[in-house]
Amino acid sequence: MKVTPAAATIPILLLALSWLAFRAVDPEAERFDRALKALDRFTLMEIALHRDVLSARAGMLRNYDPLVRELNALRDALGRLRDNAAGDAEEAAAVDRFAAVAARQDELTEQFKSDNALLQNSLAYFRLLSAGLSASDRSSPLVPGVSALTAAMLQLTYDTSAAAAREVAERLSGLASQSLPTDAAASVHALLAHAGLLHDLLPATDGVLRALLAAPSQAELKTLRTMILERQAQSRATAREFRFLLYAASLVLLGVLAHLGLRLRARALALRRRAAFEHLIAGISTRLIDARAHEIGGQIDLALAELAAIFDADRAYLIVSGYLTRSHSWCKEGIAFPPNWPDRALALATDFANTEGVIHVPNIDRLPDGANKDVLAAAGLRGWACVSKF
Amino acid sequence: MGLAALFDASGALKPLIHSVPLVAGCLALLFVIAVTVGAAPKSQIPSSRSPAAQEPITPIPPAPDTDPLKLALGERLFADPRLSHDGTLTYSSCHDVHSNGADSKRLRTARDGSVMTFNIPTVFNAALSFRLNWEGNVRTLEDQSESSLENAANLATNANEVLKKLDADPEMVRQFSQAYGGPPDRTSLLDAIATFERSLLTPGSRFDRWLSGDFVALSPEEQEGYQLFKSLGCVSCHQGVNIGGNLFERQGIFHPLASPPPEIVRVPSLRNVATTPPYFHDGSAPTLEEAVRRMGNAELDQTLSDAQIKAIVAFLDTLTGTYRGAPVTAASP
Repeated sequence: MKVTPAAATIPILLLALSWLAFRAVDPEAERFDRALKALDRFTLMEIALHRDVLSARAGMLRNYDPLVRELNALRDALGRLRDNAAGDAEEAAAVDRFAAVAARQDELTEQFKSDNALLQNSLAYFRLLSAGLSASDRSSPLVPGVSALTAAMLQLTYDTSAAAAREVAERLSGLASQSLPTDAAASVHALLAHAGLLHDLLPATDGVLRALLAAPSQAELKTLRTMILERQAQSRATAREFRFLLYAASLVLLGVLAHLGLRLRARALALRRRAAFEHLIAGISTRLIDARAHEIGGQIDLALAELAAIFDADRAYLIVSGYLTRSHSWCKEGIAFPPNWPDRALALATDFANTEGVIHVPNIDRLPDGANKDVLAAAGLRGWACVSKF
Repeated sequence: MGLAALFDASGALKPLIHSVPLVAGCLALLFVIAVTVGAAPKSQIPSSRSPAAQEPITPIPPAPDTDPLKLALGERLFADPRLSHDGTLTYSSCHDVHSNGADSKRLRTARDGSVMTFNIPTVFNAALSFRLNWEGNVRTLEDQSESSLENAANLATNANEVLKKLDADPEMVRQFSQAYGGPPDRTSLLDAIATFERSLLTPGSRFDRWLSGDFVALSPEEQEGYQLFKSLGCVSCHQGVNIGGNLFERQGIFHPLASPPPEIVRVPSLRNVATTPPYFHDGSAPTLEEAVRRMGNAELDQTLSDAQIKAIVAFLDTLTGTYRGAPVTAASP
């Protein structure tokens, strides 16, 4: 089967339009939306995590389940970011850098939980022991040392500076150097053990907390967000360009369609005229064949009138030249033949006719200036169609 | 749901209209069922007036809604000996869900005759822990299931070997197809087991009821034990919904606690602790009293009195929940 160029154009055009339409809808939009949503989720959970570690350090949050949930949510958001960046090496690398920071944050949070639990445990026990020792015998020589240690420890719980830690260390040394009554020895040893632990643990825990809060996740997050936003903007701009191209292609196609429609209409009109003309010719021929000899002239006049009507001509004529020149003519009502016309036409026809004897001058005004134009214009013609048979 | 189903059927059951007393009786019965079913989980949700709102421990939530087909399949796999290389062991060999979700042995003997390093932790409420195992080196139940499959001392097999066995069983293939829309594969195998393990929650302990506002659920001695548990600092590590299981901690802070290593352990959950002797990662404490005494010494640097130990153990006894409506019990020796 032979494929015409027009038929081959259709699938190509279909593919091109489909591709334009696909690119115009910004196919990556959902990917960027998912990535930004994951980043927002990460940010939200990180804020919650920071709030909760601070609350836990202050003793306001008394279980670590919220921290576990938040770390799980952070990991989940990271997983989504990683899945989302699977097809983009640069973005995947940025997610990996971000993940490394998040992993460090995860480690620090676990460290904080362990340290803070130990800290809260020792604080509880230190409070219990110091209260017990202070209340047991107010005249005991241990009371000033225990009270001083308690005061220094209280200071260290909210000010973990080196100076506060030194103060606790000094109080610890002072209490440890005292001679201990037998009945209080065990309690004092336990107090010293917990105080020693707290002396190390309080600054260490706050150090972990500071490191956790200062983890450069926001900087990496900002870098990643900027990268995604830039890609999103680029993707949107590309989609806009493709939408414009799609619009332009639509206009071109509309123009082509309008042109084809007009051509189709013109062709249909021409076919209709041709059919009408051929129908007329057939009718005239039939009438001429059926006419008797004395009717021939009348039939020719009638045929001329009908032919003139179909061409919207003002005048029509048939000239039979020979030994005796005969002519038939017809003109529209109110219009007359110019002088020596249509006989003059015979002479002019020899000048105008082409090799096939056909003359077609659609518009006299468009003829090049010259004698022919002047002659036709002088005869009052605006257009002229003539078939000569010599 | 019962009422809705009845009204849905009303078009086809027009003759029942004549049995008004019967319909009324059914409605009343359904109403009672609806109220009963609706009330059960509500009692577990702490209100702002219940102790749970202020306490560091929260009640166990209801088990998550899950696909019953996956759950049934997971339960079957949990007790299926084809999930071990030689067909002699199952997950339930070590984790008996009819008792305490573990076993009663101090340390199990491995296939090669050696003694395992760690005491078997209970599978009950494992889904509520942030990491699994004593070392806390596994994050998900799926990973833990596969680890147990591949552990030479445990099931000593692998997913591929198990899948070949399951593929040869048309009934098992049918169950997988119904639950997962296809024949068994590694993902669906591990998911089914994990789905079942996620359902192994033990709500309804007396302590949870107390947390939810049932103030007579604990005796004064048990409440005193809980106060001691908090004031001594035990609650610093054993807190949250699982009363532990949500952080790592050094074991033996002041004095040795149990056979090291590891130095750092995942803090174990105290849920159902009264039913899971022996204690510690080496199973070296045969009783709860012994475990509490040694914890006081190792982690608090304190010799707890018998009265303190008794009160704390009384509190710990209240942490025993229920599984499928029956209290969790200790495993048979």
